[in-house]
Amino acid sequence: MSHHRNLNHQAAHFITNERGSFFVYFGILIILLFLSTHPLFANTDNENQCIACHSDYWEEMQASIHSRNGVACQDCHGGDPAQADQALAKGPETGYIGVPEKDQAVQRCGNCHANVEFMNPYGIRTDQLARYLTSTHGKRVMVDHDMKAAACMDCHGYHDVIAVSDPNSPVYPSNVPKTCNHCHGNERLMEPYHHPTDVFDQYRESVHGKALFEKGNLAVANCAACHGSHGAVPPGVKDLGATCGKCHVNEKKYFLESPHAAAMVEGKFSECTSCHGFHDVQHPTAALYEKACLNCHATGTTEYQLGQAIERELNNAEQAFEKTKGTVKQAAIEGFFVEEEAANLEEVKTHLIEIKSVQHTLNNHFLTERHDAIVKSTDEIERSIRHKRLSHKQRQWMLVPIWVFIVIMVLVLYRKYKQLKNQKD
Amino acid sequence: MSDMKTNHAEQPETSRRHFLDWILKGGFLATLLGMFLPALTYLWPVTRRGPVGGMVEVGREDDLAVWGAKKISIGESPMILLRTPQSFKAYSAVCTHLGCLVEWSADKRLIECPCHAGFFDVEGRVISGPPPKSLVGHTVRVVDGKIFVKL
Repeated sequence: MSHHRNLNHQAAHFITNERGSFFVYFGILIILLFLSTHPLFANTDNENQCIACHSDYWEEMQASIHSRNGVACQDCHGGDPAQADQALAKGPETGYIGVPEKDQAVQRCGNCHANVEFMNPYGIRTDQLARYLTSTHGKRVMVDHDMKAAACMDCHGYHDVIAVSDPNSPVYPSNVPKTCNHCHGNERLMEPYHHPTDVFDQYRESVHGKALFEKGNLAVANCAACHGSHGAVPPGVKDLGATCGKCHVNEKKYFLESPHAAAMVEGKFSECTSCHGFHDVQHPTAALYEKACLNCHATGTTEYQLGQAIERELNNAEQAFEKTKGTVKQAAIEGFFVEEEAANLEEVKTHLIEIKSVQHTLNNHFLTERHDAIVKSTDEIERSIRHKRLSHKQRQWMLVPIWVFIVIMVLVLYRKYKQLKNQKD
Repeated sequence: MSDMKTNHAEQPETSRRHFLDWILKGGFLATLLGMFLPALTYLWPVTRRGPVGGMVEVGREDDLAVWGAKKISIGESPMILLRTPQSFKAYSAVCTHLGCLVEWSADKRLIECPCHAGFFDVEGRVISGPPPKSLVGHTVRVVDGKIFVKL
C-alpha cells in the first residue's frame, strides 16, 4: 500500500516537473521572440551581413548610443545589410555611399537629428543641423566644401558616439576645450585660416579654465559657452557683452550704465574684453584699474584719475572688511559672544561683493555710497567689539571690591569671634 | 568715680559690638542677594522667551503680510522669513554662491541675491543665476500667533 502510494507520488512529481520544465522552455522562447523584435537586437550578427567583413567597426559601435537605439550601418552608409553577397549588399539600388564625405555625413546625421517627429521620444533638440549651417564650420563644409573644417563626428565621434551627458563624451562640458583643441591646437591645420593655436593654453590658465579643470565646475564658461556649439562663430565686438552677460548678468547691467556703453555702441570699445581680456581672463582685482585704463587713457586725464579713485575705494573697503573680519574672529577665539557682529559682518560682505558688480557703472557717486556704508558698518562692528572688551575689563576690575568685601567680612567675623570668646571667658 | 570710669570703658565696647553686628548683618544680606539675584536672572528669561525645543520666536503672525518677508537673525545666522498664502518659510539668507545676503523681491515673488543676480523660488530652489544649490531651509511653526523658527 505504502509502495503504491510512493509510486503515485513519484508519478505526480514527474508530471509536475515536466509541466514546470515546459513552462520554463516556453518562457525562454517567448523572451527570445520578444528580444528578437526589440530595437536593441534588431540588427544582430545573424541579420547584419556587414559584420562579416566589418566586425571591427561593429565592435566599436557596441557601446554607442546609436547601436543601443537600433541605428545600424546602413543608416549612415547605405547598403543592404540583409544581403550576404557583397555586390548585392552594395548595389546601386541600395543607396550605398561607403565612407560618407563630411557634407554627406552631416546630412545623414540630420536625417534623424533634424527630424522632430523621429527625435521626439528621445527628448533631444532638433535644431543642430540648422545651427550648424549658420556656423563657420558649417559654411566651410557645406558651402565651400572645405573638408578640413569640423563636422558632427569631429566632436561627437564616429562609430562610438556616446550620450552628451556621459562624462566620457568628447562634448561633455569638461571635455569640450580639449575636443576643440584637437583642431584648434593643430598649427598645420590652423595655418590656412590664420587662427592662433595657443587658445587652449590660455584658457587652461584663465579663471574659467581653472574653475573647470581644477574645481570641476561644469557650469563655468567653456569654448561652446561663448562661441556656441553647433552654431559656433567667433563672437563679434558687439556680441561679446551678450556672451559674457549670459552668466555675468549684474556686471552687464551695471556696465550699460557706464560711459563706456556709448563707446561700445560706436564700436570703439569692446564691452568686457577691453579690460578683462578673453581667453586668458583672470580673476580681476582693483589693480586692473592701473593697467586697463592706460590702454586708452593717459595718466593725467580725468578718466584715469577716476579709475584711481575707484581703485582706492575698493581697496579701502576690502581692507576694512578684512581687518574687521580678523577682529571678530580674534574676539570669538578669546571667548566673546560675537554673534551679532558676525551677522553684521555678513551684511558688509554682501556690500563688498555687490560693489564689485556696481563698479562697472564707473559711477563714483554709487561706489562712494557703498564704500561709506561698508566703512561705517565695519567701524560699528569694531566699536561694538571694543565695548565688549572694555566691559570685560570692567568686570575684571569689579573683582577688586568683591575681594575687599570678602576680606572685610573675614576680619569682622574674626573680630566677632574674639568678642564672643572674651565674653565666654 | 571708679564706676564712672567703668561706664566710660563699656560704652565704646558696646558701640563697637553694635558696629560689628551691623557690618555682619549687612554682609550677610549682601551675600544672600549675590546668591539669589543671578539665580533669578537665570530663571527669568527661560520662562519668558528662552528657546524651547530649539525653536526661537521671531515675531508675530500678524506682523507679516501675505507675500511679505523680513530679515531675521538667530545667533549669527542671518535668515529670511517669508509668508506665502499657505505657510511661513524660513531660509538661511546666505546665498549658496559667494555668501551674499539674499533679499525678497516682492514684485517677482522670488528671493534674489543682489550680488550676481541669483534667484531662488519660495521653496528656496535655484531658479537662475550662479548659485549651485538651494538655500538651506529651516522649520517654521506658528503657535498662538507667534512664529517660531528652528535653527
